[in-house]
Amino acid sequence: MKAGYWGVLWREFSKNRLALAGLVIVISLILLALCAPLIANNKPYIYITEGKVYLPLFYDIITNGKEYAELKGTDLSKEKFTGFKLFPPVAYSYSEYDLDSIVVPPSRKHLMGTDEQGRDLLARMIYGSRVSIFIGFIAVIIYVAIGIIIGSIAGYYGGWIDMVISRIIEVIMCFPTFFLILTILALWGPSLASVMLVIGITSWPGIARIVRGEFLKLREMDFVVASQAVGAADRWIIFRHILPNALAPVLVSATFGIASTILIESSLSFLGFGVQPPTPSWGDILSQSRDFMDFAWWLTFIPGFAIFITITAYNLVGDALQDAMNPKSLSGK
Amino acid sequence: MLSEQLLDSNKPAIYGRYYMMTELKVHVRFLITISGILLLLVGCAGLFPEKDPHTIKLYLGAEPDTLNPITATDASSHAINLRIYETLVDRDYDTLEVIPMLAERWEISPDKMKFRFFLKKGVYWSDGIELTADDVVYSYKKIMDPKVASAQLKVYYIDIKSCRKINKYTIEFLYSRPYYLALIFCGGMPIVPRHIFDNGTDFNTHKNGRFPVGTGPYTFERWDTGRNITLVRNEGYRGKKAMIRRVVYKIIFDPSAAFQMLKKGDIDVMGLREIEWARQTGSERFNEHFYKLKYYLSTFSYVGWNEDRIFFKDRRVRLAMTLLINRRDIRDKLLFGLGEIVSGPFYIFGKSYDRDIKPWPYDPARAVRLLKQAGWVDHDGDGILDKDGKKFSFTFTISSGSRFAERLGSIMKEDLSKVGIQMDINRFEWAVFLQKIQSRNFDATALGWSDPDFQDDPYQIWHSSQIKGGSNYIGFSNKEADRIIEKTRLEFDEKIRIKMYHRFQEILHHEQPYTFLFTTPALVAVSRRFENVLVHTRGLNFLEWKVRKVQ
Repeated sequence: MKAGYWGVLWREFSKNRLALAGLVIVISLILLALCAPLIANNKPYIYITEGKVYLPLFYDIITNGKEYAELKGTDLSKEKFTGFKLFPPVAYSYSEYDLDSIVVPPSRKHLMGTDEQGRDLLARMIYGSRVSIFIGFIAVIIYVAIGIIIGSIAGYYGGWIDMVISRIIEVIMCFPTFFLILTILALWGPSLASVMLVIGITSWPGIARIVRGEFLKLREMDFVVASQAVGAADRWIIFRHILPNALAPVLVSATFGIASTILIESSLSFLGFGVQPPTPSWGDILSQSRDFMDFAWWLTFIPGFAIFITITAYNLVGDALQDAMNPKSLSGK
Repeated sequence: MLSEQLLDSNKPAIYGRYYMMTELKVHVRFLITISGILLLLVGCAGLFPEKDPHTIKLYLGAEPDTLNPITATDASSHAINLRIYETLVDRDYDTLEVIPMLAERWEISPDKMKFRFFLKKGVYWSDGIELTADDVVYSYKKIMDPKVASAQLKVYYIDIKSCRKINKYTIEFLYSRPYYLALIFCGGMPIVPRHIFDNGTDFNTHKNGRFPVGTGPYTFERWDTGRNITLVRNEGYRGKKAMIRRVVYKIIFDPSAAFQMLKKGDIDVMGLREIEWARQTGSERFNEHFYKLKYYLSTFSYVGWNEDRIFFKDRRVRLAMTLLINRRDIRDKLLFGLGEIVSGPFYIFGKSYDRDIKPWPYDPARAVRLLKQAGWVDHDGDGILDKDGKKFSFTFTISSGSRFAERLGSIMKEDLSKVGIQMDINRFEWAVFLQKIQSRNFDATALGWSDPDFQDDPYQIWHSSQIKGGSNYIGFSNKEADRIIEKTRLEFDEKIRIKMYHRFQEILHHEQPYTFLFTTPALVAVSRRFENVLVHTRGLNFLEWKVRKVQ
């Protein structure tokens, strides 16, 4: 049986042990981010008392923040609420503060310690992964979409259209992205949406260039000429014939893009331009912890390490994808 | 005069002429920007230990815009100008009594409208020219000149009808109506050298803003942008000479970095944050090298409720918000017990403050009742209070430089959500934040006021005429309060004034336009290289410090 393009790609990719490890990390982070409310929450999965069964956590998620009328205002983690309780593995929410345990080192009660408001660091890290990964994906989707559309138009039509678009790309590439983002955020006010949007609309030129290059190459190919000959519409040719063949390098670039977006988000949050409190993000946790660097190592080490691991994982995956796509590495088959 | 502050103890004052806080207190916590980081790197690379024991190294949290005392608005430049320039009168560091500085004496007419100052003879600018009445009159004219960017100063001199020279050493100010702080204001007016400024160039951008010439105990030496500003002792100074020969203000944007430099001995004096005071400076080694000084100045922090907003129009709602903030717990645990909960705007240890008015307690049950009375009930059962179809959901606007406001906000958000009030936090960079506050485009905010001269005049913040474009941006308006504010300005009998202020505080306590939070002490670490480090009512004064002899 002959493996298709993606099959070959996977075979090459899976030869790289490090990349596989990276992929496992990436996937588990995504799962962690998706399931954050199920893993870290101060509401129990199930609460049985006086013959009644409550599912506070699920009720909360399904009704978007409502509580059982009977349980309103109760803190079920308190001892006085007797009955069968099953809490998530991390029994804290990211915003629940406890002023009696400020900056407590890692212990059995708080596996990663607490921050300056007595909030559980592990719960905040888990929720923080949501921000990092969410921003990474959405921003990259935005700019890959823009990049593909602009790049394919330039590459497919060529001529003066290509000339104009290429010059625009060059102009946009000249902007120092990070400073542009800082300026725009200062005007708009920081928020998750503006961070994503700004990264999205400033980072597309790289993708556009790659797509344009691929299109320039592919549009001369026989299969394209053939479809033109039978009178296929431009849109059809671009999206059905050329684009699928031009996607592989985009994928590599997008993987690296996610890594760099996570880093940009962390830097922005570190500078106070990221998410609004009390929403946690790794960069924000890191920035908040700077003041206690000399006596609360866990507050800087853990988010720093998490950022490092995530970026490395994405880069490993990207590297391996690039190698796997490189026809030279396929030689000898 | 009051200046606006960021919440973490001692931040940039944007208005206010007097910023007589000592440099130690100037401790601006702007967010570090990228340029901040770059400067920091450059700064570190360029560091060389000043071996001279007669040099004091102070910390500046922000670069001054200019050192022209008439156009400068930030706290950093005030701290420096205080050493270079002098005013007609000064105030005693302990008693706050008005004492001579450039003027040797003054006369006040019985109707309190005429103030005549007699200058000391033989006072020279640091370039050798004598200071005369012409300089004073020129400075007054420049402050009032519409082309000069001194809006924050002009407000305070509007009541002056004229300022004229009687002879070379005598000046007379004529007021259009009496004001009990008039002497402090006209006597505290910044004075610049006319012979330098009056050369036909634009006053606002005059180069002297970068190379100040004054009459004070120190003269300007150099300004390395982004790194430091150096002053040297004025050897020709007429008064008692300070023992410290050289003052280096180090410009460091990140307070955490500055704190590390303090510990290394690269900074001699620095204001500490509560956590640094309580948890990071307890070691024997630190206490061997530094004095830890704690004293109260006239400052307070608050949460301001915009009375234009449907939620906060109602006094009961504002009171409910106060009852929902657990100030005692926040003070004890977040601020490590450092600070006093206040119930009014005056200096808590002064006479104007009425200690019998106790702060409202933390009482969520009562708050819920009040909200219900005001019509805020969860009618549609979605977990959020509502009234006439409008949900109780508001934004808490804070400056991204203030960690304390952020922590306070996170706690409030969590606690308010328990009674069904939805609050979002919105951080903005200081300039944007200030613009939002001044244009009254906010629901609620947390800030602080400082009154470095203990003047207590509530006009600027509380008079209803100051709602539009002034400092009363929360929109507090109360007829009786207005009357008290106006009357006290004309009242020279302190006893009567105090009585009226007590009534004023009662009104504020009842109305709760602010949720008054805390007055927190200045927490300062000073190197033990110095002796005779005394704490005065007005704070520290390094002019009197002695350098410890090195063995």
